Amino acid sequence: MSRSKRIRSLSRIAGTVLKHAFLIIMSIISIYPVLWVITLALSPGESLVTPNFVLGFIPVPVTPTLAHFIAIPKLHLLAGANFPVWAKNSIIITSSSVALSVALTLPAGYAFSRKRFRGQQASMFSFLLPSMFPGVITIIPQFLLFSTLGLVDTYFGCIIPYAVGSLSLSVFIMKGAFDSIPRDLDEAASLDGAGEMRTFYKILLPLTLPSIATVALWAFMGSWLDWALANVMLKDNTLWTLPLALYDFIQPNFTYYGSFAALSIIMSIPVFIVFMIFQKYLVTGLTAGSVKG
Amino acid sequence: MSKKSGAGRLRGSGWLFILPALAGLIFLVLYPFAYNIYVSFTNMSVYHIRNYTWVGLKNYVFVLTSPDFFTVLRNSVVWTVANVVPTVLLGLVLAFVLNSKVKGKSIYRLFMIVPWAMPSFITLLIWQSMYNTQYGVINALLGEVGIAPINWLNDCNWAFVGIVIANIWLGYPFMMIIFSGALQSIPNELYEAASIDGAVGFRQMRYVSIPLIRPTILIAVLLGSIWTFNNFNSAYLITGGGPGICTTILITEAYKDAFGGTFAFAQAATYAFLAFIILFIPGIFWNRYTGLTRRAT
Amino acid sequence: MAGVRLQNVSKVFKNTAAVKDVNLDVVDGEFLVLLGPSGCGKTTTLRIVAGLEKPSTGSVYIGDSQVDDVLPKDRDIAMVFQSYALYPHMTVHDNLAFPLKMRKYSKQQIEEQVTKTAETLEMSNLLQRRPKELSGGQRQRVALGRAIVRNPKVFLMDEPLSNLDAKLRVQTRVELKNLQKRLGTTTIYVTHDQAEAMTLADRVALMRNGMIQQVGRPTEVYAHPVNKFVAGFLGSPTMNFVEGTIRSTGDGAVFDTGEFSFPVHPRVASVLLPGGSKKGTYGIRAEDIGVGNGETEGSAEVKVFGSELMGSEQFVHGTRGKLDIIARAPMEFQAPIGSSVWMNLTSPNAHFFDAETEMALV
Repeated sequence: MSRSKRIRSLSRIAGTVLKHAFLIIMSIISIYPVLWVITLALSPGESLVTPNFVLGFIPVPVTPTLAHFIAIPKLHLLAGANFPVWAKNSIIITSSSVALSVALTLPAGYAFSRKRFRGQQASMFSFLLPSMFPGVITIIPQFLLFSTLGLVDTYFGCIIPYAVGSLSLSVFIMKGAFDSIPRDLDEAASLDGAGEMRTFYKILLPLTLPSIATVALWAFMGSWLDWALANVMLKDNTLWTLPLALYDFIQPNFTYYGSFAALSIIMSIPVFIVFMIFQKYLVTGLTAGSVKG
Repeated sequence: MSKKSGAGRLRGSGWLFILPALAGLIFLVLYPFAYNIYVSFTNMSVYHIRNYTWVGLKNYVFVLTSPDFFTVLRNSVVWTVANVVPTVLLGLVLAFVLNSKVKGKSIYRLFMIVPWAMPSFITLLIWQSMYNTQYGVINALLGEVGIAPINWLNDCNWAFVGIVIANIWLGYPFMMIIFSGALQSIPNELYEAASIDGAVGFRQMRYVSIPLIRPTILIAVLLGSIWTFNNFNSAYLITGGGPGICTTILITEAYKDAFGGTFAFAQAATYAFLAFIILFIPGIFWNRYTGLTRRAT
Repeated sequence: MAGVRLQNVSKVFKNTAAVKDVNLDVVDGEFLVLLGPSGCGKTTTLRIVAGLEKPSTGSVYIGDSQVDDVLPKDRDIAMVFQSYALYPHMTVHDNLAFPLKMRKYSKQQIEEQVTKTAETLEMSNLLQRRPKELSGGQRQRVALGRAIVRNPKVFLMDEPLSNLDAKLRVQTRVELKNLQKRLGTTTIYVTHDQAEAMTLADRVALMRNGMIQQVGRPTEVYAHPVNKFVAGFLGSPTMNFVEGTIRSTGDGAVFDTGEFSFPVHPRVASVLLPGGSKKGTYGIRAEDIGVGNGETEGSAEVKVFGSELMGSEQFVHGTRGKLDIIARAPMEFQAPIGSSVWMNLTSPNAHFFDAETEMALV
């Protein structure tokens, strides 16, 4: 083997070793908090315990137990209401938000893509605006508005803001999806005798399913775990959503880390599943506009 | 059949389609925003919920001259920079490493996006528990290597470091994914041409990869900055803005004022609007640069 | 300047052999075309010479040195990709300058070379443009420019003209040949277009299924194909192939197609031993077939299926039973569709291919 070739193979090996070392370290950092919360969930008691460490840093429960998970259906707070109630509220609010969001986004995306009307550019820009506001800014006026409308402490108080909140990005994703379907298809369909509605339902919609999934996913992620808005809108304990309850478990006054950990995991599972399934659509949807050429 | 034909669609129908969404937007975002500006010129608070009066620029003067304001503003800026720079860099390095020849890519990727996939609301609360001075796992680990426990949540500077670390942890997966996508869209032949032209290894990165993903990097930095500046969850959930105002940024200040007990809506609105102004200008440039609102031809 | 030699080169991908035992000697300064259908291994062979692929077996020599362990950038070669692979973020000037910059030429040298190259290819006015602002033909020239700017020992070209429209392609072909002769650089050129190969090549190497079928001057290979594949690949319209048996007769030989028979020229008949017969394929090119409106001795009657009018000549398509035969005829020849014409298939330039091996016996 020639000298230069040997140097090349050595540096290649060194490079690979470095790469793997880096990736392994980053992987550990990435999942560490999750490992920690799993340990908490499986450890008895409600206080923060110092766990055993495998290999010096991997937390492992000292005496594993499933008690916290089993107790979840019966979880309740002193302030009232219990897990079934929180879960019910969350599910109703989230699924309604997703449905409403899709229902609002589809026609809007379609219109921006396929139609021409005055003020189109301006209204498209106004859909962009909200993404420039801190999300939280809108909470204050929304609260004031809804309290005059009597919508505070109702499901709608959350559903409507959640649905509208995710509109910004969603409308653009939908518009992009419709844009990517060539007009020829519309024209072919109309020659075949399909009216606008038919074309929309039978042809365009099925082709944009991945983007619709992205929109739904985005709305889901914006509402299942929201705390800030729910905290303001839902003062009545019987209306609390899961995040509100979860936050209460580790208040400075009384902390229930075990239950908190178990509940966190349960709350994460739907997100994780949904996310894993739709992950690739979300990425292409987000990157579609940003990579030039 | 309808009267629509080919290019001549009914002018009005476009508006009909976007009306529901636009209505939602106007009522729940734009109107509240305008209302927010209005409120900032009043004295609305728990003392004046219905009978508030116009006070002109009094709130702005009050806020801008309060010693707190500049601390909070400084926090916001430091917060943004301290987050965006490492997240973008980490995301870039990860994207490059995962784009090269290395075994087990998909498994690594799976681990790497956990911070993004796990609900941030939850993971932030987890970070809070990890930072617990006595029983938190971070201090326990530090103890194992002989470092004295750090008072993460109650020491002014460490609290800030703490929330930055947690937020970077939340942020790099997204950057990694975006940059990975951009890298993958570079045709392989360009690298082959470069290797014949004389560029290998890092030179390929410097002359081919990075220039070609430059637009993506710029947008990521811009978006990242805007989102970080306004990131409520990370700054609030772990420390509640404390101790004192050490970890308070403009919008957590707004939230605290509004819902922290005094219902000082006017003051909150003032903070909120100031935060908006600081970000609106990049927003305009962003729109121009990426052409997001350009109609599809 | 240097020649290129491939010695026992083969390349296996997973379970398929893309290149099988290729031996090729490219003479210094020669324009060698690797010709073949898609998937025949010509591009892989080219990439092996470039160093973009490592051969599974065998060696590559550039000049006198073995380059198997040498990186592409150190082989002193340049490549023109089918898709041009221009750096989209650089101007034409920087694209041309890049290879020189990588080799640490001085600024002055770079400017000189780039200007000279741009002039040679008549694109001096395009230097400040970006690739996306250029037409296909212009991009092609930039790709070419990037290859010649360094004055390497070998040019490697992978179907560089296939993305151009037909007219531009033909025009560029001739310019390319002219340029290569002026520069005198050894060139290996890959294409699937036989007309291109005929125009450009000093020598052409036909490949099929990873193996070289025949190497030689275009006229050589055209007139004396070594097997049926080569015979059928070169030439437009394609050579006519007729299946049947060649049989010795009293005073010569005939070819029996099953439908009809026709006499065979003595040169072709030489494949036979006296009194013998052989099964195989009779091959004859359109320009070697005589066609007339009336029956003549030894000709076959065919029905006119149609005719391609080229302007200077026409190609008459005749059918008989399962046979399709294309014959060249002058423009004035009358061949209405459905009518009968007589084709004379006897020619000294015909070929006979063995039924099993498909090798040309004559």
